[in-house]
Amino acid sequence: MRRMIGCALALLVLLTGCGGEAAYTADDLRALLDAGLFAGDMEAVDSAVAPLVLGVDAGTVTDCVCYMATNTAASADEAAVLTLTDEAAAQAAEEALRQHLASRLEDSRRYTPAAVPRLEAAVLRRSGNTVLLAVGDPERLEAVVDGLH
Amino acid sequence: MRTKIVLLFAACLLVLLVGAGVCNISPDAPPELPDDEAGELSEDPPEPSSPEDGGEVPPVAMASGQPDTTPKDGSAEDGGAVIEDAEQDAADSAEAPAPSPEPEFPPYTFGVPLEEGEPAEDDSVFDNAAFLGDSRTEGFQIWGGIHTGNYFWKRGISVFGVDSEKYTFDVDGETLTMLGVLGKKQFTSVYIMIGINELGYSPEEYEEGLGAFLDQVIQLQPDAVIYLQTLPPLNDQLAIEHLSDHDRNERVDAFNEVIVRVAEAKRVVLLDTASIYRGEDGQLPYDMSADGCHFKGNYYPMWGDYLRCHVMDPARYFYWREQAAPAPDAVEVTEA
Repeated sequence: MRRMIGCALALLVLLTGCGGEAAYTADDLRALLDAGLFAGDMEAVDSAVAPLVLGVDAGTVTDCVCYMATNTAASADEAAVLTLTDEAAAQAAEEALRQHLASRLEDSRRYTPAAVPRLEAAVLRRSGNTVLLAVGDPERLEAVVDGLH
Repeated sequence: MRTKIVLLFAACLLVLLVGAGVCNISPDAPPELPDDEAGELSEDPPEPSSPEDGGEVPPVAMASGQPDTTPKDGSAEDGGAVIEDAEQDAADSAEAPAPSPEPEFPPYTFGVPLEEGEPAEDDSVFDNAAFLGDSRTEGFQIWGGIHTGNYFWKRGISVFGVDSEKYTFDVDGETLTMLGVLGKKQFTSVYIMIGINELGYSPEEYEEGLGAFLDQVIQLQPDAVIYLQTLPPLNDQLAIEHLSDHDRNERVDAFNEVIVRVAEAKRVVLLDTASIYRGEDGQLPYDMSADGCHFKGNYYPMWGDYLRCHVMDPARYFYWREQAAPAPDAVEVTEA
């Protein structure tokens, strides 16, 4: 009996592991916005424009929700959830976003020093064929993202 | 028998007479002349004179478009003088070159803002456009509503950095400066808004840099319509809080005067984009910006709308560029 329960538990753990983390969605982005993690006015960016601005291959993006601070000269805050065609595309998008963040950081060191800590604490996560990017409050951002799923 | 011959002869004569009369009878009779001229014209049609027949040679025709001021004998009492006038008129028209046709394009004066026209049917007019600029152009790409074209902006870029490796773009796997991009691909139109990062320089320095930049753009993009945009104003109250000491409208206004001069000198289209952001007090309205310089997202679409209503016909552009081109320096010919 004990053996059967143990096997059932092991099986349950395995199944949970195989299922992986849930994909990121627009609801996750909304939760980040509602958590007050971003400074200034954050406005939605058209889903056709966002991949171009973020440096992601638009041909691999099936859905995109993106918000950016309108005061681009003083704030680098932004948040985006992208859904890609497949996991390989998501991996490529993750790398492209990593380069995007590096470029933003370089710009900020020259022109917007206040944004540097926020960019250094940026969160970039991939789950399945989705990718989440967020630049915001360096003290709280990572914990809030971890609590999404 | 004799009677028949006579009758036959009479019939033939009648036919001949009628036939001659038919030539003179036409359904379109010449219009009746006013009473004061009736009977004053010669019955013989006037014939143009030419030098070969010893007739009087009319004076050389005036330059095209100029009125013919050849003196005429206006007397209507002397039929011979009228004939001479008619002959001279015919000679004038025969020898005078046709006046040049009116230009087929509406006039455009470089240095004057392009007039508003009907909005473009759709944004495909921007498909092969290049939008060059700084962080304001970044905002324009993100929120301006024109989701086509090619954007080359960098935060902090100035006219002095357009060929600097500090500001590069990844184009087809190559890392290029802004000028490098223009040398790699040909665009149909090039929109330029640059200058807000140069407010710490003097207007003279800015003019020199902007002029040099335009020279290179024109050289690299010979078939493109080049648009130079005026700089939207700042909000001085917000600028005092958020921007540098030299970021004030007084300097922006001076730079816009430079832009007008450069647009005229380089013969490119001037777009007064600043006009759509200028309040009655000459400032960028307070609620349009958070830092006094960059617009809030919902104030960028009006920039896109402005561009849609100010599109220059390339044929018109190149026609007037050629018309306004400076005359080549005269070549001094020295005798051997």
